[in-house]
Amino acid sequence: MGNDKKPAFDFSKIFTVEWLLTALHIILIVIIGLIVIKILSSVIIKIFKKKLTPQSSMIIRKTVLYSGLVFVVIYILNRLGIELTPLLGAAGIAGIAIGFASQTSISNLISGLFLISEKPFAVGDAINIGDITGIILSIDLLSVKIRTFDNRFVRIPNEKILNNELINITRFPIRRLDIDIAVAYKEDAKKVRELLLDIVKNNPFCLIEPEPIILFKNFGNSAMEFLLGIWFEKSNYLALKNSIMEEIKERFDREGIEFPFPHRALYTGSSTRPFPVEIITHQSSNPFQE
Amino acid sequence: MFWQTYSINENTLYCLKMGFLTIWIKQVEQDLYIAWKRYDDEQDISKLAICESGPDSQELSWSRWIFHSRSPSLFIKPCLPDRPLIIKPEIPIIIPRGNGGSFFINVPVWIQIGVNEETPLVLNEIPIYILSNSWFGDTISGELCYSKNSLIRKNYLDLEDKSWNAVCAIQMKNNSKSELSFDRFCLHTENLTLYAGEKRLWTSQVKIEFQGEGQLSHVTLSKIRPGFEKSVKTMNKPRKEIDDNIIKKSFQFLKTITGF
Repeated sequence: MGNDKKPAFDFSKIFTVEWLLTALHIILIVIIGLIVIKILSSVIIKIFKKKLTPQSSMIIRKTVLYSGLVFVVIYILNRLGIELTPLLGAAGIAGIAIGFASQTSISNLISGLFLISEKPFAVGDAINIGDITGIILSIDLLSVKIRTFDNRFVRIPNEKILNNELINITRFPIRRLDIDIAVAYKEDAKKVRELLLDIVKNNPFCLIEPEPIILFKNFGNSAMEFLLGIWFEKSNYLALKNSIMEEIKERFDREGIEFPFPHRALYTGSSTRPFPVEIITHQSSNPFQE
Repeated sequence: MFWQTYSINENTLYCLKMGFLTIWIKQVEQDLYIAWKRYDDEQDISKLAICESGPDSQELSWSRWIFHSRSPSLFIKPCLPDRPLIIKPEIPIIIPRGNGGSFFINVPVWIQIGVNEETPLVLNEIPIYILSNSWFGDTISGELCYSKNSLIRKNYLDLEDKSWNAVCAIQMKNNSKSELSFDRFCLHTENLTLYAGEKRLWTSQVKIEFQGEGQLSHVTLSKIRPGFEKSVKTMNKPRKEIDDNIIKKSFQFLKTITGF
């Protein structure tokens, strides 16, 4: 008879009251655990707010999160009656296998620890590595995230950062802008120096001290070559670069100082005599026609 | 007096002149408009008054302040620069060990414009005299400052008497075992109180005790009003309140600068 037919799978044997209580307990532990982790990291960061850099806050937040999660998982396994000793043994063997398989990630992880301890940069610094220049968004264990100045997101593996030359552009509060300037040989080098000093003195983005550097660098092929080094507050880079270049061009034009073009001298065989030029007039319009 | 509270009418253009600076103010309904321009030549000083002729508005950039109600009054006050000031004497100064002296310098002030609501609200701070930007200390850990070539006088009456200058009385003492020779020193104007006397503006008196090269100087700021004029009242409190006695790097030595 159809009424006497037993179900293929008896769920009542699995979903017992005891099982449901255990499941509920685990769900509660997960929820409470996550809330406690969140509160704990916020409280720690709030207490040390003034002393912590954004980078340190991030590390503390992640350390608390991951430690908390490990603690919650261990508690749940224990609650389910799973023995941890064989699990840890298996985890060790699995760890070796995974380690071999994920050498790059481990290398990045170790590089990340070095970067965090060495502190070559902090969140918010502008750095240059290879062809990439941008602002540090975050320093994580595996990678560093950067926002470039044209608003692109770049993720650089920590290993690459550790193995390459890195320039921290904003580490120090002031910087020097070096400008190469070439002027024609006919100009008075002393006047050029005075003009440059005057331009620097009147530019609001230039610092008066440290004093600007004007170096007569070289007697070039076509010009006298100067180096102008101006100190500025790091946030004024664009404003200074634009304004000073315009001012130099405008002032040199006004003072009649010539920016030279490449010259080529032809040697006629004598150091003093000019190159002989003979002007031949032909009646024909074609110079090659007799 | 130039530094005071003013009441202004609606839809009327006002201007004030101080040194190289002219400021225009007007109130349209509840909103306040402020613009300023700096001239090459020094002008006669004039209080905030109705402007006979308006400025060429194309060459001015106005800032507009929006309020929910009409501001009852407007204050024009002097204030000290927002960054420390590097004072460069005409000639380097040398103080032998165990010696010291008092002198006076002029510190240029800014114009502070604000409205008196429940609490005074500052809208703009405008430098009257443009100071050069400079750096005090080494390139790694110094601080951003303004710089000014300054006359250092034993008597404040010998200083240039301009409405946009405040007189700062400085007492210096060399407590070290060597002579103190410097060609500039850093005055932390952000820690000073600004006072107005009957004739001049004054700052808190400063006492700098030099302890030795490589050691920080003890700087003491007097909280007593300067006693060089009879009636002196507080115009502006320090931007940064500090202890009475602070320790700061105050001198830049000839040795450091010349690289010997």
